[in-house]
Amino acid sequence: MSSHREAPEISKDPVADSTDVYAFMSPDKAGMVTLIANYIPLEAPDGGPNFYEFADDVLYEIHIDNTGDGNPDISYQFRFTTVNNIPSSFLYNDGPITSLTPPSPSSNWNRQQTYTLTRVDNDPRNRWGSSSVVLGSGLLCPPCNIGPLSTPNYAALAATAVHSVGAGPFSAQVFVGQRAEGFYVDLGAVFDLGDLRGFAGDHAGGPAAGLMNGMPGVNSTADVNVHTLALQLPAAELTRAVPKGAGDPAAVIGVWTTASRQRVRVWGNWFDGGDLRSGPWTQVSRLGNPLVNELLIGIGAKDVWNTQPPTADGTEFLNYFAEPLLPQLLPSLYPGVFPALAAYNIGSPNTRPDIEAIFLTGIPAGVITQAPTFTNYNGTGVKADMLRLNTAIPPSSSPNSLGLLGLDVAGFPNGRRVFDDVATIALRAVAGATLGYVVPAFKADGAAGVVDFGLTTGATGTDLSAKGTEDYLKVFPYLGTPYCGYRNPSATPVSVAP
Amino acid sequence: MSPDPRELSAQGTEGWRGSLSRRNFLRRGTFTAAAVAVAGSVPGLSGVVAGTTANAPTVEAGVNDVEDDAGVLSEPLVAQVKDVTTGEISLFQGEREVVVRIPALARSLLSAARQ
Repeated sequence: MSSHREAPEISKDPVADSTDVYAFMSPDKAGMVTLIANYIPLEAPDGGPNFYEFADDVLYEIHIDNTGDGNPDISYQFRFTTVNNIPSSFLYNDGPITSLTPPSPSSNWNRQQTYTLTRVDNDPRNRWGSSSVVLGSGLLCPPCNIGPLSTPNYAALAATAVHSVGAGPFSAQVFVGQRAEGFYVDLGAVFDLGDLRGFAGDHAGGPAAGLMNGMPGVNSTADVNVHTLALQLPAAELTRAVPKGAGDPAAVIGVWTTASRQRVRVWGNWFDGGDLRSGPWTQVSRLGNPLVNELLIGIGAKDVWNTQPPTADGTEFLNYFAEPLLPQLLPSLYPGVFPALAAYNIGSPNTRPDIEAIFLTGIPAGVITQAPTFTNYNGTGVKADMLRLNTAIPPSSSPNSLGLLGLDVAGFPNGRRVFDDVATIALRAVAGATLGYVVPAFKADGAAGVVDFGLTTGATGTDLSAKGTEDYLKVFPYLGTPYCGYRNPSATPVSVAP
Repeated sequence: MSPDPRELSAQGTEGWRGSLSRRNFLRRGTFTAAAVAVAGSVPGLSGVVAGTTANAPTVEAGVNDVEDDAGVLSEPLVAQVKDVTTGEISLFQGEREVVVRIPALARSLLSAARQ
């Protein structure tokens, strides 16, 4: 998955487990950047009576680096307060929830969350100096989408959880709450020894297992929800200076999310104020680009990676990017399918500067030969995993889910939109489709340009709905209405070819 | 207000900067040779915590009682004895961590914990 259950320790702490980060220029609002960080992987829509929620004891943050040094210049912090309006009831609600109102003992809604949004400017070199300002407090989250009796007209109800906030020179639209999972991938196949159903007949073990080519992919995350932190902000409030154009490094921002917990927890104080939490906040989860910790970092380092700043990627973790394991495995998993990649792997040099550029530095101008002016390079060469968005590149009027691979410069890895097929883009990149841009002598295998998970129609990137399994919104917060527990019980069988 | 993540990471001796300097963190086990956690009032320590900023978390010298707030515990205090020999103790209170090195205190806490 993108970053769902990507490391052993954080997979045991889902409320702090970031799943996806998105950053894109808003297609319906010129000059506005949308930033989204998702948490809590694989929410079963009917997972009650204690439905999903953010944690009061976790500090959630979305960071922006606008100086290219890999450190956060601006951080948006989300802190939650959860109340039981009806402590004596075991129910999430004891009547329909038809409007968002502040917590009250007379509410039908029992378990309710509010939050505070704070902007922190961390770098005195930044034009805003070092400051911290609360943009909004007591902001209301929507309930989870339970069912037609509990949460009728859910989409309209959730829309009222989009708040306009601001303080001083800063303003934002913010939404925090449950959303439909927007990321799609065929988990059941890919984690079965790298199977791609459409190419299973070419897998080293495929024929013996009765698998064949052409089997349709399965969107494993089609009917699950996540919890979303979404911001829509003027680009001018995020960049270090007003960029002079798309070629100006000042137009590029790096985005990532972290979750932090206090260092100490003493359990068992239920009758004395609850568990004790103490000490400074320490990072337990990190996510910038999709699939980095999931597919690049070795399992022995995954938990440590989650605690580190992005700048550690250019030092302690650099080999995982420069010499990733997955490109080494592909020729073995699919014998004869990737001969050029196999030859490159045993040659010298055999490092992957394209992977470093995509994930760690951004792509300099002139690299993408078909779009030579495109860049999301950070201007410094500092290697740090961040989702880099060139804010001077406007949204595409005809977006391609393959992003830059589909020559849509407004898509991943120039930021990431909710519909970008990042799993296929990453798969093709590690298979060698992007290596030739940086190592001109390398000629990619034909298979590198066609392998996918079989979740979109055709190879053109025009399918923005993953064969109708995704239903994104055209307006903020863009991720779809969460799946309703009543209509999407987790026991719903998924019909899959054997 | 929650501090800058860069400051958070630098807290204590097991922060990421300390880990990275070892260059072999992927292979290491836990640093803590001996650890005892206690919650509650520890005579003599409240003055250290109150007088130490998050940016200067290490106190090498001995500790003196501070009369004006001795016995007053505004927030629970948690101590982690990391090394009895050096007396290294991490003190957690509120959103702060302070590291002190007081061998006699570390020995006293260890002795108390064994009772």
